[in-house]
Amino acid sequence: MSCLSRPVGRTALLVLLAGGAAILLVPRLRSSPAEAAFKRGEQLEAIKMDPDAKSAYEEAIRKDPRYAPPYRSLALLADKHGAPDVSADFWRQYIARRKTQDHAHCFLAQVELNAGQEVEALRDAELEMKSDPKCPRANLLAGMLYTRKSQSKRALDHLGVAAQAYPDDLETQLTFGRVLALTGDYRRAEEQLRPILTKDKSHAQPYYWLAYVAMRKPSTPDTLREAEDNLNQALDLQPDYYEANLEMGRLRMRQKRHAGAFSFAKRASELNAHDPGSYLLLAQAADACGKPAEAAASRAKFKIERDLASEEKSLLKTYGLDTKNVDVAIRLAKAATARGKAESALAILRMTAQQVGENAQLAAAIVEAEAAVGPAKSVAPTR
Amino acid sequence: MKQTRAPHIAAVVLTVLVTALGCSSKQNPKPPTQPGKSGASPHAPGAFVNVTAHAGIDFKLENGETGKYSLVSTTASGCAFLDYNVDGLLDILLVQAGPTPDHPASTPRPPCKLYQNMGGGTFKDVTESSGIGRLKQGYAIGAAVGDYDNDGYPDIYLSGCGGNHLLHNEKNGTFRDVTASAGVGDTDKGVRWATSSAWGDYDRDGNLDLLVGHYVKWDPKNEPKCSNSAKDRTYCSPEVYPVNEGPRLYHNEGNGKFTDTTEKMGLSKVRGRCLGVLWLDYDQDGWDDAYIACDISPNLLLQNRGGKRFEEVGLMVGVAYGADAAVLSGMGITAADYDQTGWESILVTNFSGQPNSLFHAVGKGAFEDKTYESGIGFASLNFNAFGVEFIDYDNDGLPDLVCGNGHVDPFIEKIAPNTTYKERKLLLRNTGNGAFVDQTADLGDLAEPRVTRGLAAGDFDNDGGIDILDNSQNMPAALYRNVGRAGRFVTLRLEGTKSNRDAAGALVWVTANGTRSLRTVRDGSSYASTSDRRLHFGLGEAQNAEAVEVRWPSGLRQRFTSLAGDRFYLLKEGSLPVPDPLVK
Repeated sequence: MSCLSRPVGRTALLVLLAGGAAILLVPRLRSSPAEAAFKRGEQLEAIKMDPDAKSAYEEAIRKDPRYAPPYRSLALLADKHGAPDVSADFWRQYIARRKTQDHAHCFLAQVELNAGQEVEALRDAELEMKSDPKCPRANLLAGMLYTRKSQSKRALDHLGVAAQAYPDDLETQLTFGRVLALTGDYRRAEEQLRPILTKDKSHAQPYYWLAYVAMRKPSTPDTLREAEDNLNQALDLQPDYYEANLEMGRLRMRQKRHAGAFSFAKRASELNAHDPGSYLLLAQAADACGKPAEAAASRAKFKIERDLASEEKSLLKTYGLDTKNVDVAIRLAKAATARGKAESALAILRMTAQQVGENAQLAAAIVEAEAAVGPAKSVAPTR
Repeated sequence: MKQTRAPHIAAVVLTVLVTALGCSSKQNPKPPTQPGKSGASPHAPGAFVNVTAHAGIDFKLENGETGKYSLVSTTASGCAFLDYNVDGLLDILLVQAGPTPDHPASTPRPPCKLYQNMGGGTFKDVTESSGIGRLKQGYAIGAAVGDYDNDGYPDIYLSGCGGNHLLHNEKNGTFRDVTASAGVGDTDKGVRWATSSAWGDYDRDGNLDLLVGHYVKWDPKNEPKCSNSAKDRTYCSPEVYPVNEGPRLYHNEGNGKFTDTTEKMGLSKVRGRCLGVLWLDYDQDGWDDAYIACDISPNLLLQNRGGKRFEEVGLMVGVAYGADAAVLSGMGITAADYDQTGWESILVTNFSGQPNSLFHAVGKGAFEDKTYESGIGFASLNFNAFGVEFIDYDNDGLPDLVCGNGHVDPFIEKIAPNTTYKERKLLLRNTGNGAFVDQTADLGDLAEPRVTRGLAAGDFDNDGGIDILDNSQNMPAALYRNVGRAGRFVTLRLEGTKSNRDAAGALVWVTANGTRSLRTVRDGSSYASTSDRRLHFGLGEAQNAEAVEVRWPSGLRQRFTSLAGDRFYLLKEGSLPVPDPLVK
């Protein structure tokens, strides 16, 4: 302490400290060697020269792999060009290097969702909401993902936040209304769905969901009329709307207008060959119309599709308990393929293969699934 | 073999006499009539009062759950109203499960309990004296009560996981386990998981046969471990267990022995995760058919082809799937002519997220789904329902519905909106125009949140109001007295002579207020339970039942006129109605 009491000593110490700080800080204050390449990439992207921009960003990364911004740009670029899994990889690398909170988990969750990585997407949406619980996009993503997972309570919590944040976003408003309807909260569902139509009457879905609610309330002349009006609107806007055709068929059965029920059920079965619902309705309508042969044939189709759907659901639950179970994975893939979901089948098989490694049975099943999907879609995107 | 006896002068005279002498509904001192007087927490005033404590019932159903989440523990257990000592007062049987079957056999297991109705709204625990307490009943789930040997005293069939038991009523207040000699233990094909069972005379030989539902093949040593979507450890979905079980049919040979006729009757290939079992003659061809509620597999309707074989026709007649073509999670069943068409419609309770299903009988064996139209779908969507009965609780002549609810997932509140583990009951009042409304104002103590499995209905105090018995998981059982009846009633106890003595399968149409309504005598319904087998008809404002028509299982048809209201009658096959001598 004695030397510090002298002015000369104090000055010398300050000089030393300043020098040390400069040695430590200057490299950080100095712009990254990658910055110039990154900026060039931004300029190229601005004039829509995306391939050159991509090269510039990659050069920036080569110059300084710790420099975060080019990863973000490459993530956005990959997403723009329809490579969500590549984008997801870049987002993850960006997040590992970034220095500020900038909703990157939200972007990541979105591309993960686009890439079919739902588990990861939900995890990242949840991470985003840890830093910003009201983040609208994260809430929207979480709401949609919990909807898919049938966790309707959580779905509604998040969708409620998102619906407030995005009052003009049709998908958000509609998803919230749809989940309310599916969970039996018919009053709130109607409150959610009706305002959508006051703003924009050009979409069929809000009409369909209002009809769905009306059909599930105790029957009165008013509810039936409301269901019919809304279904008519939905079908005017979107004649190929499977669910609306099916629901209209059900309404006609309820009204004892059996010929109409038959037509709508027939149309629905043509629109979706693998949903059992239309076949059962078709069988009932055919019976009522005095067409026993058609009723029997429809009932047989219903049984096939219903059993397949049940088998797929049951196998999915079993697969969830052990995703390394090759036998269950192959059976599940077969059921999914039979229901017209070859791409899902392929994804399941590939996921299993990643976990169990070399397996001849799986390899054969993957080849078969790839053939079912077709060459264009079965090739895994390259990074 | 069908006979019809038209009323004649003597019958009319006797009927008038019956009317004059009919049993009064005035009974012993009454139990509490106000909610909260029984020790149960008070709820809003309504039609039902919890009288459990006053009645002296102190039973707690233990489902054996210890954190292992054995699926079997979700299905325990049922209950029954029965008059075991034939004194005219309904006694109570509460089925006990206890430690799950993966525990060693030596693990102490609480017994099922039998309570004798002493009158005045009180019951006496006769578990030990009746021999029920000494029974090694195993993991018991269901109780079907029926007089299989036609001796006038009801016997008990307990179904469960790992073996079933037939308890013969010795007519002296005791029961004897005759499972082995009768051949109905259900253990000959390894450990099976029996749920509900029901008695019915499928070949009309005058002896009650037995239909037993099985759930899934289950091995406690290989119980999979599952979590719900909130990652809490909980029960696995039944879908994880293959649909490789089905019903079993035992034919009563009439000599105390039963023969397994499952294969002979065409049922060996029938598959389903069976939970609720009900006999009903859905097409009124005189042969009792069977309806089985299944969990995440199609419900089964077994059409009886002349007592020679059964054919599964659920899809064909429209009772196998739900309103949206969905596979249902069926649990409990009941049936009634709720809209006075002369045909019984079927009600199946389902898992939460699926409304209870109403299959409306349009006549001649055809059904249409009226789940949503009737308002039942709207009211029941978020309840997880097991036990259920049609009861005319207000005696207006229209069968209402009472549904016992309670989820299987203790953590359900975290993941599902508007759904709780413990749930109130649903009391759905029949409005008379084909619709039902959630009559919360009349619930009274039925509003208590519970985890109901077994539910039975019966008039335990013979006051003309249908009361409710509830067996809930890990909670004290509850007895709810109906204090809300308004209209008049007639209660009919049928006794077969040529038919089985219980008259199970008899159809009775009562005409009152100009409308004609059907009820069926049953020995087993709801979920794993048996209700009062007497038939109760609300008459509303009418003084009399204008006409009573009976179609006995033997085929005999009888018709009587003008039975005075607020009375109990005994209808003996081939005889005229008389005041029920058992009802003092």
